[in-house]
Amino acid sequence: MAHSAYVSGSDQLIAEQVFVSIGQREILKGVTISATRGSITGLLGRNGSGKSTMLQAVFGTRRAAECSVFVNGIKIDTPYTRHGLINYLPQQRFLPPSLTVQTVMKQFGADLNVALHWFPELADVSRLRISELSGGTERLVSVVLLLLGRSRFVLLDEPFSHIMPLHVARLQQLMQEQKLHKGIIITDHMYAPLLDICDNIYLMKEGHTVFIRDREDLILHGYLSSL
Amino acid sequence: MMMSKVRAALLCYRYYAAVPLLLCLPGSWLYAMERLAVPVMLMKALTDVLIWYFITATAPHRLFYYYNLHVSRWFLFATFLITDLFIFRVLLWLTALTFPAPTN
Repeated sequence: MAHSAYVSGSDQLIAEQVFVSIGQREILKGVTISATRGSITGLLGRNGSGKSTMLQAVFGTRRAAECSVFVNGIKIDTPYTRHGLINYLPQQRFLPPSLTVQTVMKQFGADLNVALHWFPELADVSRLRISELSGGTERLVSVVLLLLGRSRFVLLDEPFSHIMPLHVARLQQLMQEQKLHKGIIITDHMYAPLLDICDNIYLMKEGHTVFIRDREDLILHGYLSSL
Repeated sequence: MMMSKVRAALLCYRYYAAVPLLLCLPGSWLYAMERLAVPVMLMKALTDVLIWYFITATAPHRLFYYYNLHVSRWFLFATFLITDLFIFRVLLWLTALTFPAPTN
């Protein structure tokens, strides 16, 4: 299987020197970020700071002036076209409305039984079409799908949006478990759950990434209020 | 692996098929009136390009389902175009069988 060609002891994806401009505005000015199997990388930042742009550039769907992606030292062009390598959760709905939950799970190679182990509530909706789900349930299915799917790296853009606190807590646990199998990068405005589960946290600021040690750093860099 | 990409790309076509299939009807009618296969096929291809542009401009996030199945943007577009033109060609063939050629 082509998938195994990429696998090595420490599976690592590094995106180096990511430069993206939209019109005259430079969004990303040479950012570097990495995802390693066994760890979760968090990416915080103000609205419009370029978090989603960064993830899409790494995924390969966003045109970048410069973006070099390496997996275990091998340069990869358009990573998303490589079978079993990387998945990306966009902010918006992306599942085809006419498909059922169990069909999309099957297409991504995600084990429905494992999904039901973590979220027994999904048993009631597994035979329903995506169009019949509530916004929150569709979001939950999308996140679980990519976490349990066949890919070695997963980029999650606001995975906790529209999801109720009980499920956010369970998703955190699922991410902690899945990081043993894949490298994960998460961006979300819900910084508290991110601080809980991330092994490394970066803040996107003025087109660059700043390493964050704790909550105080987020206040220092103007992401959180000191009140 | 290739078959799974083709299946995913065909799923994408199915999702957006309503409008291009609807546009097959005036195309077939034109063909029934005047037996001009090449201009009618070119016109259909042009409408496909416009529909694809409309899809990518208005709801680009919907395509992430197929990107996540590792299907490239160009492969999606090529499958969309080829499938639609194939269906349209079959429809023109059926039109030619059903309606006799117009006499001048």
